[in-house]
Amino acid sequence: MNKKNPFSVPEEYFERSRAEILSKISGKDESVFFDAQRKSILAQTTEKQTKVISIRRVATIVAAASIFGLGMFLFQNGNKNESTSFETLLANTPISEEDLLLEVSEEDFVEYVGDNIAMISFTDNEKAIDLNNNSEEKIKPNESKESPSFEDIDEDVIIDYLLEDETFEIEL
Amino acid sequence: MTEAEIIEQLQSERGRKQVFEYLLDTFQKPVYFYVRRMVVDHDDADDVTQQAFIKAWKGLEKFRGESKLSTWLYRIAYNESITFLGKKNKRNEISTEQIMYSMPSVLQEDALFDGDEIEALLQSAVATLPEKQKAVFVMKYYEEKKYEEISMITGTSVGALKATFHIAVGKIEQLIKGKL
Repeated sequence: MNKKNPFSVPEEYFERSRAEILSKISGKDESVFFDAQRKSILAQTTEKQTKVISIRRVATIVAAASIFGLGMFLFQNGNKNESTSFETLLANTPISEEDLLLEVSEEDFVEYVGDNIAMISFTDNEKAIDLNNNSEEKIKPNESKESPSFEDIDEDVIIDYLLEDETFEIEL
Repeated sequence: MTEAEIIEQLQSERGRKQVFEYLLDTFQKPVYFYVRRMVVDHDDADDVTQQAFIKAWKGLEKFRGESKLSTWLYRIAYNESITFLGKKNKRNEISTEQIMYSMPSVLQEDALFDGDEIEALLQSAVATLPEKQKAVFVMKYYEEKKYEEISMITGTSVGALKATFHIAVGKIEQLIKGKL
């Protein structure tokens, strides 16, 4: 740098850049931190969704069992006594008011199936995004790169290729 | 830190970290300005410099002292700059005329460029050179490195470097004369 240097840099640039480089090589890169944070949030979201689906599944089973029980009760009572009033039936029914509220409608069923499919798609997308965002991948050699033949390879390509190869030892 | 001490330090991970910090302390600025003269834009220079140091860190374990550590580091920075410029030029093919027409005014408006009109013209002319010619010109003209060291950095023979520098100077002179 003996000639006049026309280029300048923002104040404190070197200090900041130094800290960034050191954090990157020590694995304390902010992007890595945010990636971990995002994965944690994703895991929590998936866990919550699984819990909701489990509750729905239990509710569905209870409701289905209750409807079956009510049907059986009506069938048996219908055979015994034709004149039983609806109020009497309801009073004798083993289904609680809470169980009745859990009765599964077609909309609930569609929503349940839809949620399951949505959750699977969501997880797969996140995996794809995660792979794309992995900063380590960017500095790893591109394994999908085709190896050129020696006939059409030039010096630049050889240098680029060797530099991408981390197993290559630079000899000067 | 002597070269022998460096090799000794590289045997342990703790030592490698110390050597790397020494590299940063000693060569961060010169490497940045070398890269900046190659790529011109500060943000690009920042990216390329960081990438060069990260590669240096990854390769430090394999460094055997067959060259000076600074030469080895410059070689990484040189390769990173060449690779970056090669990719950038593939994306935006800009003619020499376009560069000489627009770059001087762009540079003079850049808050991170302190040169005058002639300096902006010179930088623009340097920017028109092919990547390797540019690298040789920057190392020889601005950094006043010896051909032998440039030869170790670039892996090119001294004779070829002298010819490259001569051609680069000729091109730059012609371009500047054409604009004055």
